[in-house]
Amino acid sequence: MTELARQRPTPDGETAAGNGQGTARAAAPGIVTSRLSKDFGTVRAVDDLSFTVEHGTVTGFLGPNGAGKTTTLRMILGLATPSAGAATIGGARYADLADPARTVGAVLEATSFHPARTARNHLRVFCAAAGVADRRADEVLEVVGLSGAARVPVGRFSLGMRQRLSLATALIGDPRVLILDEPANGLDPQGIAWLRQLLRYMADAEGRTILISSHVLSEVEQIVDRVVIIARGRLLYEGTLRDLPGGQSAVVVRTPAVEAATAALAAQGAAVSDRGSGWLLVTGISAAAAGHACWQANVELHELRDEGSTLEQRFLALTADPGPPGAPA
Amino acid sequence: MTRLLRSEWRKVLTTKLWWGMLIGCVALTALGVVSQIASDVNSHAGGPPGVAVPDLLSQAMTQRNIASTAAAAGIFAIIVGIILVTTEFRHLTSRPTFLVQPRRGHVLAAKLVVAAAVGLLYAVACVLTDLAIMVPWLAARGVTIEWTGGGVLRTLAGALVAVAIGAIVGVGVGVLVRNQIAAVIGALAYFLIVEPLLSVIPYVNDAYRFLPGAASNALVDPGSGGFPGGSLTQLQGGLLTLGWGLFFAGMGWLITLRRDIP
Repeated sequence: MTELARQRPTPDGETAAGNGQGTARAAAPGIVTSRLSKDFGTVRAVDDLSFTVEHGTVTGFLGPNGAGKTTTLRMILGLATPSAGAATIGGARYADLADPARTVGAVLEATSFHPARTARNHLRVFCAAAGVADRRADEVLEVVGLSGAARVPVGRFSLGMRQRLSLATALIGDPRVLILDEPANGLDPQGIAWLRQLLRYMADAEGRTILISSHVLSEVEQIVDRVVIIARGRLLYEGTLRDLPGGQSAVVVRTPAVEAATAALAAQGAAVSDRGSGWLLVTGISAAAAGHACWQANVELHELRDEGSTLEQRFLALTADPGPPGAPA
Repeated sequence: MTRLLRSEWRKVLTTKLWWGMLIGCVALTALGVVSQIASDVNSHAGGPPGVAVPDLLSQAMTQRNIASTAAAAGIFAIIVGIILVTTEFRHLTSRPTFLVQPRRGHVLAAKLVVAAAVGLLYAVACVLTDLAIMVPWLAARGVTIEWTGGGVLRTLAGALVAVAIGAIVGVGVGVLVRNQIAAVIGALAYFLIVEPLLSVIPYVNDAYRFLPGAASNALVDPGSGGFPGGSLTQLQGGLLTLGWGLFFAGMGWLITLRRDIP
């Protein structure tokens, strides 16, 4: 299936010039945002955001819902105008790209379809606009596994099928850069696995630059080379996942005497959260200190384990909303 | 630009809108022509004494009225123009459209051209419908049609242009008022209720002839109306209607297309 992704679109007669740009494009740098800001009324959705997506890498664009990811992507794609700063792709603003469809492909929310139009006709509309041959519509349907539904009106598609069709639309011009906003939304676990495989192939075998946003780290953890993490419109971290700063480590305790254990640990200044069935998640204390406190209080323990900090915990700790003053972290 | 025209033309052909509306405007024209001729025939009884039926039908003004029924497609062309634009915002196909072509003015220009072509298609269909009923019916009653002398041909030509321009006005309205239902209902209310009301209000009706609907009427049948300040000529009416369409489109470009695309 992924083999087909390599097929280049065939320019029709009128786009001989567009074909020539294909070679120049390969040397272009990736995506750069510099001091990008966007205000909606008095709300600053994106705040002085600068990051770089290096050419030929898969970069995860992470942050909680409402962090400003979609707004940032829309500014990169020229659909929204920045209040300040600029975003460029291969050194040019989106509006100045010579042949945008052959340079950048984008998947925004999977809702940009006329419900009465068939999948194939939807793609052919944009084949015409991008100046690629109509058979490219069938090729990209094959790539995303929708060939069987080519003549079905999109209104009858499931959310997962719409996501695939969005991706197919993005691939029409065989762009070197892909910008995907939450592309895993609506996909079932098999679909997510398929998407990972396809994106990894497109980056490794085909050398495409991919920027993929998600609010769930685990969705993209396995395929990204680098991450850009934002919250409340601001950049929190840019780099590899391995170097992501550590969060607070936790200790897991299992005990038949939950109340006594909670009291003993709290007396040592630890934060204890009851996870039910005798399990406690304890932070602010080492495993050794927690075991000692329980031993001294004569509390029976069935399990005591240092949880360390998972990537997900580090991500959550980094992006956590500080909340109102005085509220527990 | 060729790419965009092909893309926009495909958008029209790949949904049912165009032929649904085509059936609608042909049916309305047929109904209009039949009722117009039938009422002229029947007016014999209540008509001026001594004027026989063939006399009424052989009058150039009557014949122009029958011919101008083809302009009924105008309101359909306006609605189609509105829907072609607003459907992009409603179903968010505006996004892939502007991703493939970020020069938004070019997209709007392609939309205007394609909508005008659709309008012209409707106009041709309605003129043919008009002729298919009018020519044999009048021939059967022994009436000669005053094609050139009575201005029937000019009226038919005016109707063709008026309907095509109607689609341009529709695109202009649609890009200005992105909400589909508001734009369609607003246009229907304006052209079918507001403008006819304005035409009968004293002092206002002198300026009325410059409004889009009245200008379009002048394009179809410059003699009609009987305004205090005199009617516009066919050419003036045509240019003014086109001007209104381009004015709406220009305002829409300023207000809608220079902002963020939803």
